[in-house]
Amino acid sequence: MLNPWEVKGKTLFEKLGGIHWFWIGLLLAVMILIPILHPLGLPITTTPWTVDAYNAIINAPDDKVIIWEDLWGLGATAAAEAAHTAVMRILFANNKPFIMYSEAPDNPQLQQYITEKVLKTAEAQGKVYGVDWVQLGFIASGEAAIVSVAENLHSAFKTDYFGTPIDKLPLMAKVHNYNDMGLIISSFGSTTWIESSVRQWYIKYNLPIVSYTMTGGATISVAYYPNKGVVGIIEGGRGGAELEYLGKVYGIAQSQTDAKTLSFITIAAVIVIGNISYFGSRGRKEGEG
Amino acid sequence: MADIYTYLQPWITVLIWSTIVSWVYKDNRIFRVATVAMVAGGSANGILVNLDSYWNKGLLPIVNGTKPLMIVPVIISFMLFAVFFTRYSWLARIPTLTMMGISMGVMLSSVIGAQVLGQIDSTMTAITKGTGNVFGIINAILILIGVVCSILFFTYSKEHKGIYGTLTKYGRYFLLASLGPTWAGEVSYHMDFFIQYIQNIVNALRLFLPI
Repeated sequence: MLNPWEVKGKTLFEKLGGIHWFWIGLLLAVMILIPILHPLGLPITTTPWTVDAYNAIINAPDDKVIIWEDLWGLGATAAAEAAHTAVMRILFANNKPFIMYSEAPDNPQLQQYITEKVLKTAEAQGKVYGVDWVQLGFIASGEAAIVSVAENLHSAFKTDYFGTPIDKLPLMAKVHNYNDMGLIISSFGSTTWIESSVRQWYIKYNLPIVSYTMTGGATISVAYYPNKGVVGIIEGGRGGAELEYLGKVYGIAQSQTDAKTLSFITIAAVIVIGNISYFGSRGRKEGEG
Repeated sequence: MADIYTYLQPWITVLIWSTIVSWVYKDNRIFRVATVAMVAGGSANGILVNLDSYWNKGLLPIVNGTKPLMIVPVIISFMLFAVFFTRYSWLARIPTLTMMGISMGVMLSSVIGAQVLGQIDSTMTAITKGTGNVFGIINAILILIGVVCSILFFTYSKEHKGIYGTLTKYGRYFLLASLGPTWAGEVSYHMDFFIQYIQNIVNALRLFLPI
């Protein structure tokens, strides 16, 4: 059905369900465009699990280092960028040293892309690479890599992402294995990766995890929240907006939230219309029968 | 003074995104070129990153003598290429099984604690531990009922009818209710792309128009 003007169905209910997708897409685009051009400043509510994630980050032990594992790639950048940026800015603002590594081959470049943006913000001023944060790059093997990192970080990585031997980075002298780690930030595009993180980081090494999930992963993460390993959950772009609000590090997530709210209201309205069409058409057919 | 890249980059971004979005209209050559380019780029990057990782973590320690025993996993990994030779293809099973063994071993050592005992413990003790208020207790009871009914739904040795059938029916409802938020998260994830796409177009237009 390529003609947007064509409407399927005979009755009003059938025609309601036969509206061309083009008009729905156009309506969505307009609803997104309005707040992008003129931000509406719609209110943002915070969820308990994002508040817990924020508290876990800012209250991470000062004598230990935060480990940040990233398992998402190019396809998830639109969903990941906002919260990734917010978390980095909050870490910088609260002087929490952290070490990032990647479990997806295309993730290190994206970490670097976001880091370059974050370094232009006020929170990052005065922060020194190697002292306040380290980017280690890619490690293969998924869940087995967690064990490798937890048992001996200096054996798992000999150099950082830029090829610098990690022995030359001051922050790396403070962390050798899981005893030196205070919090794990596990960000992933997969729905179920949190199970691997809990199995290894929490069950084996008793380290608390902040689950930073991009898709429907929050529903799996919540099975381990708040006292089975996951101490807080950041849910994609929405979680990013909440973090920006909580940490007062306003950025792209806040500006995207208005667009998201309006687009979801539109989607909900379309679902309601679709159901009215379905049940209306069915009732009529049953009546005819 | 902004350079030409400042003006071109947003439009290149919009152009590339549009080639992908063009599929929404219908399948077309531009879309196919874009998807092939995307897969090719991803594969090339993946190969290079993995080769780099293989060199740094596998071969370099052998070459510089810091970990000579790394020769063992390196030899095992090379056996994967035996799959291309019919006579020796059986050798490829060794690295495959080695990787499976490591993954299973790492996982199984803690899966019972995390996903069996931990979950049962949370479900059963939530009522007694609660959250100190009546809503916490009601929530815990609902979770317990939901878990029991959902587990019953997955039984196949008894026909789902009568009281038992009612319980499995409620189990199905609980499962569907839990899939709702998962699907909503998926929609939210994809809406991020659409919002980013519109944002890119606006950013590109703002270079020339006062919007």
